[in-house]
Amino acid sequence: MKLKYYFLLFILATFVTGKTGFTSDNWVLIPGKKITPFLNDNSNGSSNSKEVEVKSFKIAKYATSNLDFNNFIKNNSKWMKKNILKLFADDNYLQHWQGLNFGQLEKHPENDYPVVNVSWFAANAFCSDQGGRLPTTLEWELAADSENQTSIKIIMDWYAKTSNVMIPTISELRPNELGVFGINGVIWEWVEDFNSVMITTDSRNNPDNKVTGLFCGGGSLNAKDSSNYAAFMRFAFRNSLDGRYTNGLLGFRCAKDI
Amino acid sequence: MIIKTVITFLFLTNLFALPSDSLYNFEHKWISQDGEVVELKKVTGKYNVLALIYTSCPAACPLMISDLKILDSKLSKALRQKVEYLLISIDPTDTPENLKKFHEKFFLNKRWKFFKGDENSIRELAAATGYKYKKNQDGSYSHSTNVTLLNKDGQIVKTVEFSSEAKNLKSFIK
Repeated sequence: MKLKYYFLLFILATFVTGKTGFTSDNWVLIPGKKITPFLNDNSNGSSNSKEVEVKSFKIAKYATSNLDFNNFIKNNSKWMKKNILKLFADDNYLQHWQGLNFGQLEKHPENDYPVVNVSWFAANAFCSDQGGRLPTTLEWELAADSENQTSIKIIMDWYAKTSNVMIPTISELRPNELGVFGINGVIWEWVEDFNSVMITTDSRNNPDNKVTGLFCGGGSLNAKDSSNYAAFMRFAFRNSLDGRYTNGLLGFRCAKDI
Repeated sequence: MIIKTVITFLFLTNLFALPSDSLYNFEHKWISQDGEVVELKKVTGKYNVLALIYTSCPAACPLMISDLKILDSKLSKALRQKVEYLLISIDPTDTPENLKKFHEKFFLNKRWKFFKGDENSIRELAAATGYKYKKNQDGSYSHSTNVTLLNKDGQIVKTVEFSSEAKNLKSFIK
């Protein structure tokens, strides 16, 4: 009888806390697929769209929450706000936690929100600590089902909102068709290769390198779908980022190999 | 006596602590063209000129080296002794042998050090220096050509967006 009671308690606890932490239930399998990247790499001087194979991987069902991140830095003190090196984050790092101690945060309603104001370095360290990594751009775009018209509409509606709209809690998020929650229209999310967008450092911007081929494959603005404004915004935003940059609408979720 | 020792210890610890924004805070392990494993903090130049390239790069990287040589040629003999060049390969498959061949091919002297590292080390160093790169399907890399001047503490003194502007770093080297 007592065992049965503990079992029920365990099930209940799993149900209640299942949205945070990194149990096996919190990963979504994204089947591998050949996709044409939104931006062409233009290698070999070809401007034709090329398919790239993305291998199957797992991605976190939810964006990393404040509570997840809080639990991480408890054991990794170099990532606490008071200890963070300027090399790894700007002054706004975790600024929305101001006035909250760790103990308080655990009981604070803030803990159920996606963590924001985290740098790429911090996000990278968190995912590594969970045995994972940040998703690549291609993986993120695949998991976000980013060319699906429903996804595009969600993103465009989000862009149209005023900047003071509250971020929803993780409990309030809805899944896309792949079962990934709140990946579109909630926050921006870091990707592993955020610094792979070659928009501005292009041979055309470099007066000394007039031949595209001289630029080792060259920068490219050959977008697959020039009408996909949502994707342009996303790639432009990534291009504007710096590894130590933090922003009140920029968080992350982890991925891992299978 | 104990207090004095503690104060001295704290003073010395603080004295030798790296600045918070120093790239030498990274604990990445890099392998040189001679097979030596080092951390960036062990580099010895009073100024270090950092450039990310790769050995099979068909055109942009040789141009970058040429631009760095122009910078070097503009330095006085005295200043030149203070400057070292840190070349980091963005291709994790580069080998120390490749780095050595590249070093010899471009007649680089011992003030030019070429290192290779793992993917994460490369990505983090690139992220810290505003360097963008992407592996193409044909194995080549699209990449920026920015060059970063570091002081002896590993802090960024100046970054030029294109290697063709590397010669302008001269005015930051004292």
